[in-house]
Formats: sequence, structure tokens, C-alpha cells
Amino acid sequence: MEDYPEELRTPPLSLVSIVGCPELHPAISAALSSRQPPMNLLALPDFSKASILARTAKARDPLAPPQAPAGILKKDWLLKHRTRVPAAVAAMFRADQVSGDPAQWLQACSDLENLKSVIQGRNTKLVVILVQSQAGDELSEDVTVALRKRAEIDSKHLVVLVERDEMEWTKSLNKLTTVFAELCTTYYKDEGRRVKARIEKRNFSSVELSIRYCFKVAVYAEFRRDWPEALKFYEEGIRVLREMIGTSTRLPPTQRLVEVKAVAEQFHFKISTILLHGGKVVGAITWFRKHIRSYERVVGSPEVAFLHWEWFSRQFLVFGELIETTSTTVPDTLSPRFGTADNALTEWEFQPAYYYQLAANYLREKRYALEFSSSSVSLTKGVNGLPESVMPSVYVGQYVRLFEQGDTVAVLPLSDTEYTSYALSEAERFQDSYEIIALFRKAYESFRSLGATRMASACSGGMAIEYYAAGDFSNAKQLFDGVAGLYRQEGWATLLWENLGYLRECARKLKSLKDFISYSLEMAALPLFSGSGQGNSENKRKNGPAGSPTISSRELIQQEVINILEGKHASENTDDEFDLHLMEESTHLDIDQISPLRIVFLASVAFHDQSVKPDSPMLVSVSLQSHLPCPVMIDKLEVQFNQSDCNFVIVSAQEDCSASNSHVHDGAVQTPLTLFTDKWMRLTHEVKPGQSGKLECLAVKATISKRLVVCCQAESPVSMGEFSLWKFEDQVEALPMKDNVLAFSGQKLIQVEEPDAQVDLVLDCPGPALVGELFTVPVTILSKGHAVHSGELKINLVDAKGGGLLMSPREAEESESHHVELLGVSDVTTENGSKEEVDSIRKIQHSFGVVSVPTLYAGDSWSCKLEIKWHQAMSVMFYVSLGYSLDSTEEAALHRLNVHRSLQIEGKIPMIVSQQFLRPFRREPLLLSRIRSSSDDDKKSSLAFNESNMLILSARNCTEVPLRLHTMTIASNDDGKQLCSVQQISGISNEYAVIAPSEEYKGIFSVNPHTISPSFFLGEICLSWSRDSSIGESQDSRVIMKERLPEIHIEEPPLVVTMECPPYAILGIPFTFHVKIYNSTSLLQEIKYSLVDSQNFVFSGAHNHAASILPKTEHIVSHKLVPLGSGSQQLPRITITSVRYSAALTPSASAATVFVYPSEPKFNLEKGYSSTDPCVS
Amino acid sequence: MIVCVAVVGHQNNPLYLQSFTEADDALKLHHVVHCSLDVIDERVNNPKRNAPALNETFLGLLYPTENYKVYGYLTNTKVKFIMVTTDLDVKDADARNVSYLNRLILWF
Repeated sequence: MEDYPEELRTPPLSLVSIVGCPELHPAISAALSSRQPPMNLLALPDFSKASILARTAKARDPLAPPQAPAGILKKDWLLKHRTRVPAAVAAMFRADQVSGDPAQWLQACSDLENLKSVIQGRNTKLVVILVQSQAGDELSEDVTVALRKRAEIDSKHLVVLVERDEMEWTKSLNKLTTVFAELCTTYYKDEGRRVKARIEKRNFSSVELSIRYCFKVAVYAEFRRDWPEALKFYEEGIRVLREMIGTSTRLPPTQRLVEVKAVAEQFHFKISTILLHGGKVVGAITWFRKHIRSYERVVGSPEVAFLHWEWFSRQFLVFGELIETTSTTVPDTLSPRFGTADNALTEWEFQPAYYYQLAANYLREKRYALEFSSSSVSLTKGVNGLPESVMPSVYVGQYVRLFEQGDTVAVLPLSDTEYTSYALSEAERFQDSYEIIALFRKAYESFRSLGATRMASACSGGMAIEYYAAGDFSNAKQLFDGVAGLYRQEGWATLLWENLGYLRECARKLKSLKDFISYSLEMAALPLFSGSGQGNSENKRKNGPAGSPTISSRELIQQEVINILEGKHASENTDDEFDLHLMEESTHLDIDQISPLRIVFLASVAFHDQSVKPDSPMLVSVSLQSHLPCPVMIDKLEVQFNQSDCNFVIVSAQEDCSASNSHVHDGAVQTPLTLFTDKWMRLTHEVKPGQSGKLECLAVKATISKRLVVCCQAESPVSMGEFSLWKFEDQVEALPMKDNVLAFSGQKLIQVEEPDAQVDLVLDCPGPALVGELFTVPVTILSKGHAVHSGELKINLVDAKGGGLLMSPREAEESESHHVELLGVSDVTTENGSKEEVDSIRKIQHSFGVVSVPTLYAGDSWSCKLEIKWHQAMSVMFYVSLGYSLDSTEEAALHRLNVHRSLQIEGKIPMIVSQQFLRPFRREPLLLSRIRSSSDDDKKSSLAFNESNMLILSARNCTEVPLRLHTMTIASNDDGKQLCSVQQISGISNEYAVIAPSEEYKGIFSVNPHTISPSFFLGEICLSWSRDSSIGESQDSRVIMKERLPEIHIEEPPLVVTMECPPYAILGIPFTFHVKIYNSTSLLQEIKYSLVDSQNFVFSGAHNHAASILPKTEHIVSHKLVPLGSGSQQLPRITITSVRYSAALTPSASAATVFVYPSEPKFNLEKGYSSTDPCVS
Repeated sequence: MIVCVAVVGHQNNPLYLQSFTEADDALKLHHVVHCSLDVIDERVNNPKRNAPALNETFLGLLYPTENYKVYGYLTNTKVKFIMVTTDLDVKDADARNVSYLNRLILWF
């Protein structure tokens, strides 16, 4: 657009001229240009300069027949009307010039006459301006009238400017500009009307004039800002112009076309500008479409086709720039449904990028056409030569030759041939490539910002092709690489083919053998997309350097790579060939899972097993596939694992044996290695993993033609991705492995297990453990073939119920409170059988221990004893694991073998101790606390002060083994001993008492409290026990078990009731039954007592009675009883109620029982007493 | 004249592309079809602009380029049918009919 002249690019402004009084011109010019619409001023300082306004005289005979015009538009016509032909001319005089001196008046008159004569023949309006210094300076009426008459103007066209008074000055200046504006409008309207009349009357001799008139009318309308009329006539003009192409014969065809297009370009530009500035975006785009459609086929002769494409490209570029500069957005009023009946436009047509891209495309078309023309003309150049002194003519789009002969300069028309060679030489001076790249880049950036990646990459591809054409291969390669990525991703094989074709050539030019090979191989392995391949592969312009994709071209490409690798030069063009001698030893291609070369070589590796023992053989399948069109001969195949010992090499059988033997790995295997198109080459090999752990196949390296090493990353069949390019191809889907299961679930990695441990770990458990004892668990390590080096025994105790912790979390802080504790390990060396502490105990914690094991040789054994103590009854899981290595080297230390054993051990409480307090027989103290006690105190036993009580302790064996009870004592503290005497009545007679399972041992103690205490601590029960089966019976094995006796309540009873009754009675013989009630208080106690009848006795005495007992005295209630039945009989129940304490006291049933003999028993009294007296036992 | 018919998969991968030109334009048509996917993406991903046409599978004229006009049709499974014509005066309704016809031909 910048190439267009200024007058074309901007809307025309009315032009007025003033002559004289140059000092006022700047002010007037400023006033005119600040008007809306502004006006241009052509200021002439004095009347002598007025001649430039004069018409250039045309020496034309008015009687001669009208000549056909030599062109359509004169180049300078628009400029002339914008700068040199004013619509109105103002003659400026100072008031004193016309009012005073007659000589001056005459001068003014002659100036005016001159001016009039200058503008004669034109429709230019005349204005006279009189400049007054002050408003008060009245001009005489005569002067103004005379001046008007001289000038032949209306009175309103004589304007008086008042110079000194600012207000008057502004006012008069306003008046002047208004007069000018009116006159301009009239002038341009008249001019337009005049020309329009010619069109309407068809008063023209040729079609060129018709177009010229249209242009003029439109320009005049533009001067008046009458846009619709301007648009109408521009459109009319361009319509006539388009028709003219076929009919005009004025110029030779080529130049005619050039002229028509140049004019059409101007018309079109005007129309587009008017539409866009008027906000009619849709109209402008629609118009542009129409314009393009009407000219796209008007290419002209092939030699000058480049002119057409250049022009055509410029149309797009200019329109794109117009759209961009007017910053159009899609109008809201437009239907959003682009591209449908409601809205024939599409989204992209509102984007400048679309036009830039097409401009670039057409400019490239121009480049192709130019190349074609240059090549054809260069053959004939010698004959014609280049015409000299060709220059643009006065007409738009025409060229002429200046012909000098002596002093005369003539302008001669050009022949088409001359013009063609001129245009060609002009065109060849420019490098189009960079302009094309710039256009594509503009479009690329714009499309990318719009998110149109494919459009952007098409532009990027366009740029790359231009760089390629311009010989900038590294830039081209970079851009092509970017574009190829998108095509690979979306699987556009044909587009990728074209791209790779360029890339291959770039790599060739850049002498990059590796790139060349990889691009070539990728191309050769591309699928042939449906619908492609019929094209003429020779047309490199349209299909890129690779031609169109066909099987034969794929094969050729592959062969070329092989030839290069083998050093055979296929073509004579040695410049482009790779000099292999300068290259490094071999070329490496790495193919991983995302590499585009996966279609060239794909390696699938699967182990036949899921896991394997070390040193045992297993099979691994290696499958290779290639989509290359020709079979590939592989010289050597190397399979690499993470354990390098497993690597193996397969050498092709075709390979010369002598050559291969020299540098081939020992484990090389020979097989024919030829990879056929799309077929899996399946090889199965045996490997022996030496180490345990993960064994993974890393890569398969194939050496081709000795120089090319392709390193394919191994893929598991189970996770093998599909090729996006080959996914939809018509081909038989083959599986990488013969075995279907392996083909779908095979893995390239395998877990090599640890070797079987040949060491036995024996845990012995003698039975359940008892709480408190030191429980020993012997652990024996027996070597059955493996030597044990740097062995380590890990011991772990875990709660069998789960949870893991062997202590309650609350008690966790106190280290003593572990429920189960691992106390130590004692080493028992089997050779000498002695027990000794070993320093090697590294670490013993409460539930965890690590013990190091001395080096053992095959067949040796070692054992130790673990000592565990239970503090609470619970079940524990006991885990022991032995880790060892086979020898003491560092390498072996990494591969340790492990043996694990576990055992569940129950921990049991050995004995349950229970206690019971007994009061003296038939002596019942009234213990108030027992009567008053609420439920919580019930548990506390109450003892009477100063009364002797009995405590029975029973220890019950709850294990399944007999236990020995060594001692049973009550240990009380010093206070306790003084305040309460505890004496053992019966004890363990021998050294120990054996308690069989579930049996009880009872110990009897007498307790006599000497103090009164609500809660008295009697002491602790101490039991010392051991297992009955303990062999080495020593003090150590005795376990002291302590249990706290519950606290007791000691109180003084207010009343003590003692019943006295003979030890036995005889049927029918009366006996006396006393009940003694002792008042131990210092108060008078009133009591009531009642006796309930018993059917086995008759008695004498009161059933109910009351008595008062003096302090510290005893009251005796006596009854005479006669037994009526024999056997153990219940005496009549007596209930004594203390009135003061409202407490009733009834002797227990056992105390109120007496045995009645039927008759007087006759037996040895001593023996009889011992056997019948129940109270003793 | 229809110069090219293409079926493009839902991942924008070409499934079928047939050009019917004598001239050596096959590659150019590949480019044209590929670029037209941008317009389809734009129309599909810009529901604001296409709100009234949600259940309309005929996408209309995608864009005119050089001598071609590209029409699109989108199925429910996001498979795209793309037709390239050289007939610059083609009416929208005609394109619609041809598009349906294509669909039938290709499906049966």
C-alpha cells in the first residue's frame, strides 16, 4: 500500500488559492485546514505567480476529428486537481491599495484582469478579498462596487477581512472560509455534472474516455464527500474496464492487460478504502471477492504471467493491509453462522493473515512464473537485447521508450516483446523470496495468535520452502522440522512426505549424514496414503524435491541410503554426495519410544517367563519390524541388558566368517538376518542371568551396511504403542511374538529371584511362656550347603493380635512397662556346650534385636538362646530372619540371602491368687460400715478392731504344667507390722509344694488389727514359684510373684455378739444357748432381739425382748433348747437390733448350725473331737 | 466441480482423501484439507458463535482459498467430511445436498 502515491491513498481535499498579501497566508491556511472538512490552500504571494494556475495549452485543432486517447488515466490528473487546480481563486488587496492612489487602483485592476484571464476556460470561481486594518476604516461603497464589477462577482464573493481587531478578524475569516466552502462545493458539483453529462450522453469516442470520465466524476464526488456517488462511479468505471479487456485494440495485448490491471487496481483501491472507512466491512470483503474473481483468470501470455501474479498478490497484500489498518472486527450485526446461506463469508476473511498468506502464495506463483519466463527468454535473449531508456508513460500502467536523436527527444511506444524483456529484467532485479517469507511470517504470527495451528504451520512451511529456494538451508530445516512434528502427530503422511523430502535435501546440502539418513529412512517407511501416488512425480514444484509418494520412490530413497553407506556414488553430481572418508567411523541412530523413526525399526523384546532363578537359563524373544519397502540386511544384532553379562550378539550368517570372527563377541550366534517389509523378524535366544534383581532389556542395536548402527530402545509387547501413521493402513496385523499370550502380555523386564537359601533356621518352643519367668527360645542355624558369611540374625517380637506394639501407648514412655521384653541373647556353642555371653550382641531393644552370626562353613551349625520375659499374658509373634552372603567379597555383600522363620508364643499367667477374710467362729461384731456402706465400698473388707481374723490365700495353678510353690508370705511394711499383726498359721511344710494344673494351694494367716483405719494396707502376697520340671534347679529359676492385698477397713464394733452353744447336741436332751452381747462403747446401748421358731427345736425364753446394756458390760441372753431332729440342724435364728444404730445383726447360717446326735455318741473323745469339730478345719 | 473429498478422523488424522483433478494438485489439496481443520476446530470450540447451530452438522463453507471452496460436515463421532470444490458460485444448499450424499456414499 505504501507504494501507492499519496494522492491515491488519502481522500481528496478541496483546493482554493489566494493571490497577494503573503503575510496573511499562514493565518488563512490555518483557518482553512481547521475547517471540517478541511481545505487545502494554494497560496501565491503575488499576482505574477498566478500563471501557474493557467491551463496547459493543448495545440489541438478544434475541427480535427477527435483523437483516440492514448491511455485511460493520466498519472498526474489526480495530483493536478489536488494541488494545482483550485476550485476558487481569491485575489487579495489591501484597502489602501484600492482606495487611495489611482495608480495603485489601476495596478489592482490589471492584476485582477490577469487573474481572470488565467482562470478563463476553467470553471474556477473568483473571490476578492479586501484587507482592512481596522473595522472603522470604512471603504467607500464606490470602491467595492467598482471592484466587484471589475471582477464580475456577486457581492457576497467580496469579503472584507479586518486585520487588527481580533473578533472582527475571526468573524471575517469565518465568512471567507464559508464562501470558499460554498464555492468549492459548487465548483466540484459543476465539474462532476459536466463530466457526468458526457457519460449520460455517451458523448465520447472511446471506451477509455468512458472510464476516465467515471473516474473523474467519482473523484469530484470524493471532493464533495459524496461517497455513494463516488462509489457508484468507481464501480461503473471498473465494470467498463473489465469489459474493455477483450475489446480494446489500442495497445498490444500484453501492455493492454498491464494497463487495465493498473487502472483496475486504482479503482479497486478507492472502492475498498471508501467501503472500509464507511464501516462496511462485509461490503468491502464481498467487493474484494468479486474483484479477485473477475481478474484471477486474466493471466495473459505465459511469458508475462509473472506480472499477473505479482499484481494479483499485491491485491491481497493491499487489501490485507487495509483490513489491518482499519482494525476491523467482525461486526456484531453479522450472523454468527459463517459460511452458510445467511452469511456467505467465513471467519478467516476478516483476518488480515488470510490475505497475507494468499498474497505470499501468489507471490510465490509469480516467482515460479518468473523462473519459467527467465529460462525461456534467456534462450532467445541474444536476438532481442534489452530495450534501452524505457520509462513509465504519462498514463497509468503504460511504458514508453525515450528516443533521442540529436537534440530532439521522442517518446516511442514499445512492442510487446520489448516490453516483456523490459518487465523481465525489472522483475529479476528483485528477490521475491524475502518478501514471500516476510508475508508468510506475518500470516504465521497472526494465525498462531488466533490459535490456528495448522494454518500457522502451513505458513511456516511456506517460509521454509522459500528459505530452501533462497539457499538458506539451516533456517529451512529448522522450520520444516517444526512443521513435520504436527504432521507426524496427526498422521498426515502425504504432507509429511513433502516435508521430509525438503528436510532430506536440506540435510544433504548441510552435509549432515546422520540427518540425511534418518529423514530418508523415515520417508522410505512412510505409508502411502490413499489417493496419493497418481501424480506426476517429476513436478517438483508442486510436490517438493521428493516428488509424490510412490512405492518406487520409497524404494529408491532406501536404496540411496544403502548406496551412500556402502560408498557407491549413484550420481555424477559429486558435490552433493557425502564423503564417507571424512565422516566418523559409523553413524548412530537412536530410536526411542517417541522417535519418528519407530516406523523404520521397532524392537520388541519379551521374556518367556515371569521370574527366574539366577544361573538358570531362560528364553527371551527379540522381534524386529520395519516398514521400509525393501528387505533390510542386518550385519549384526546386539541385544543389551542392564546386566551386561546377559548381552548377546547375533551375526548374520551371510556375513563373511573370517571378517566376523575377528571382532565378534564370544557369545555370537549366527543366523540369517534379513528384515522383510512389515514382517516381524522373530529371534529367540537363551540367556542366563547371573545376578538376582531386575533384568531388563535396554536396547537392540542393529548394524546395517557396516556403517549404520541403529539403536532401538527395546519395548515390551504389552506396552507397545501404535503408530499413528500406520494405524489405519491396509495391512495384515502381525504380532511381534508367535505366542499370543506373549505378544499381548510379554514384558521386556524380568525379576531374577534370589538363590534358594541352603541354611536352615530352627526355632524351638518348649510350650507356652509364663508371665514373669525368663523364657528361653533356642535358635539354631544349620548350614546345609551354604557357607554363612557376615550373617545377621534379626529378631522381632510383634503382638500376635496385630497392632505391632508390645506395650500400650499410654505406657510407652516408661521403658519398664513393655508387656513382652526381649532381654538378651546367650550364645550356645554346640561344640563345648558351655553357655557364654557373646560380645557380638549388637543391639537388643525391647522388641527387636540384631545378633551377628559367626562365619559358618557348610555343615556347621550355631545356636543361641533368646531370653524373653512376659510381663503380661499375651500372645506374641516371634520373627527371626537370617541374612547372610555366600562369601565375604564386597560384590557378594550386595546379594544377600535371607531365611525367615516365625513362631507364635502364648504368654500365660502361672497362678491366680485369691484371698478371703474369716471372722472368729460364732463371734459377730457389729460393723457399722458394712451396714451403711454404699455399693462402692462393698469390695473393701471390714475387720473389727482388736478381734482376731483369719485370712485364707489360695493360689491356683492356671497353666498346663505343674508348678512348685516355694514360699507364700505376706510382706507388710513396718507400720503395718505394728498396727496389725499377721501370723502364718499354716505354711509349706517341705521345701516346696507341688501344685498340679488347675489345683489350688491354700495358706492361712491370722490377722489381728490394733488400730482403727478406714483403709489399711495389709501388705503384699509374695509367691515364689518355679516350674516343676526345671532341670537345673537353682535360685535363678524361682520366680517371685507379688500381688498386693486389697485394702481393708478396720473399725471398732459398738457391739460384739458371741453365741455360745455346745459343740454338739443329743436328740431330746436340752441344752442352753447363750447369746452374749458386749457393749464396747461408753454409752448405754438399747437392744432388741427376736428369736425365730425352728421346727427342729423347742426352746424356752422370750421370742422378742429388749434390753439395755451398760457401757463396757456384757448382756447375756439365754435360751434352753431341746433338739427334735438329728443331724446338722439350724438353731433358731436370733436377730439383735441396736436401737441406737438401727442396725440388725444376725449370725451367719454356719455359725447357727449345730450337729444333733440321735443318742449319746460313744467314741474316743479325743479322736471324735478332731473329726467332728468343723471349726478346726 | 468437486475436486477433493476427504474423511478426517476425530483425532484429525486423515482416513480417506481422494482428489479428482487431472492437474498435479493432490498435495495442495492435502494442505487445503488439513488447514480447513482449523476452521472446524474454531467453529466447534466456539459455541458462542455457533449457538444456533448446535445440532447442525453441516458446517457450511469453511473458507475460500485460491481457486477452491472448502465445505465441511461434522458427524456426532467427530469424524469430519470435507469437500473441496472449484465451483466458486456454488450455492450453500447445493453443498449441503452434496454433503449428505457423500455421507450416504461413504457410510454404505
